[in-house]
Amino acid sequence: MKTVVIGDKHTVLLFSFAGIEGRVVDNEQHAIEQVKEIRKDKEYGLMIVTERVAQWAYIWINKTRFSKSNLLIVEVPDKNGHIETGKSLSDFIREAVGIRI
Amino acid sequence: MQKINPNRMELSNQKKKLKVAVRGHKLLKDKQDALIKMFLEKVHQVRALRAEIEKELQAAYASFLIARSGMDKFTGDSIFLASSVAVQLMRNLVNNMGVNSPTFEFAQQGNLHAYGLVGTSGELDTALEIFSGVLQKLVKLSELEKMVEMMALEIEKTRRRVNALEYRLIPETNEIIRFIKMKLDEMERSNLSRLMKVKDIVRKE
Repeated sequence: MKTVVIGDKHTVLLFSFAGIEGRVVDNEQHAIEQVKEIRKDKEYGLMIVTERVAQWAYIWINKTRFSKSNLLIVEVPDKNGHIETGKSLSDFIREAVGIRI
Repeated sequence: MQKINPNRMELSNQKKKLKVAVRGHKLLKDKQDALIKMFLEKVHQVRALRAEIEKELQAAYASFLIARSGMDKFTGDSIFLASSVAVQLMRNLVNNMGVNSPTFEFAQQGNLHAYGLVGTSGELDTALEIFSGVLQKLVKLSELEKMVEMMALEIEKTRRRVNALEYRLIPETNEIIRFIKMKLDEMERSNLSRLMKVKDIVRKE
């Protein structure tokens, strides 16, 4: 299985050094295209995206997450630090269990 | 209420249905409780792991940026092109209480420090060392997050089933059983009075 990272130039460079394929994106349209393309390819098992990209392509990322798809998605902060994206873990818990923690 | 034939056969069927529904409700309720317990454990693990990874990644980024600023553009790009590390992922599926989620075996091959000492700084070594450790954790985090998402969906599904049994099927079946029993009793009473009447008529003759 292949791993891919989608994000800004710095993140992709750092990950590429560890042998991970990278795709540099700098706008929303490009990010959505890349995410859609990887979703279709069954060769990929793990997609690492920066939180900025997750914010841009949240519809497609959530579609993949909440499906039976075996493609795992993990969000990482970029060099500018953590930003809030889409549903947080607390939202999941509230929806699933009905309690707020 | 749907159209019911009030007879003993139907009563027996409804009683069987109620027994299965009560048993199913208990099982599903137990499953839901166990899932919630496991879910909360996993959520705590995810939170702790994510905090750890974010901290390490920030350290790696900081070292990396310092290292890049000390290198000229050509050296900076060429050392990354010279990377000899290959990553391999092997996927397996694990079943946790009916929740199928993928797990990965992560293997990194090759030399992480496959660049010359000239033109690179110690900060780059530090960044890559930290980063190498983060990758393993990232794979683990992605597995845990997927499991949490799948469990959240499963809990929601189980909760809907439990509620449907508890507030719909079981009370409805109880109501049907009560109705059939009432009708059968009524039929028995009318039958008894008819027999008494017949007996009276026979005696008079």
